[in-house]
Amino acid sequence: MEPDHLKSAWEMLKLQNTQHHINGEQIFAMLDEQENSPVFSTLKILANTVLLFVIMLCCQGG
Amino acid sequence: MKTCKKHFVKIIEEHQGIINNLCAIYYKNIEDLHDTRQDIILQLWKAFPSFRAESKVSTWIYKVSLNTILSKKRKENRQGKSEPMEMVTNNEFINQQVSFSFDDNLQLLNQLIATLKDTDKAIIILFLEGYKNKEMAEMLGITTTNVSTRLNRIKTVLKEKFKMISYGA
Repeated sequence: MEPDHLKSAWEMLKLQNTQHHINGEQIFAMLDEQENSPVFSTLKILANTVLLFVIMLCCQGG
Repeated sequence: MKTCKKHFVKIIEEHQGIINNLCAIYYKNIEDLHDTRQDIILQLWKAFPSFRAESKVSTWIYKVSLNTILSKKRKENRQGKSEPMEMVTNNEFINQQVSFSFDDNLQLLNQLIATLKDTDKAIIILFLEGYKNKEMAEMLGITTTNVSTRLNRIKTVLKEKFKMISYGA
């Protein structure tokens, strides 16, 4: 198999492996699911608490 | 944020071939393949705010996807969860048809990739995609010398395998 054959085989392999199609709706669902996951929500609450704390400190300092 | 998400989804839809191909190369089990694809998409979404259009979208996708897969594989190896590597012996190669048709080449390439270590797989994939050694090194976080050494070794192995098949040795 020469490099040219290798490249054409690679193109064929790529074509063969693209059967597992995913649509936009599924991608949106994936992102939404992650954003609503308990870990993500906890992180969001934690970030908001830290932000609030920093704002309070700044206000007291001023 | 919504526009940003829409833009991201459009990019993924257009370039999903790269992700699907990589997942199919590293994972033969359909469930693992889908899980890995989801991990990659979420990693890409996390990295999306820092993505600069200076590099090509496909390069960015290759970089994030391969690094996600490699770190997942390292974790699985540590936990002893990794799928058994499809070791293809020389005899199995020799038993392949000598006259090469497109299908034979495809099967051989598939089997050859399956025998490589995870990082070597990434290197041969990027090589076949036309990336230079320096670019591959940057994408995989290894040195250019390491890429060159590994690539030369892979090429030597490939040549030997194909020579064996061609001459029926």
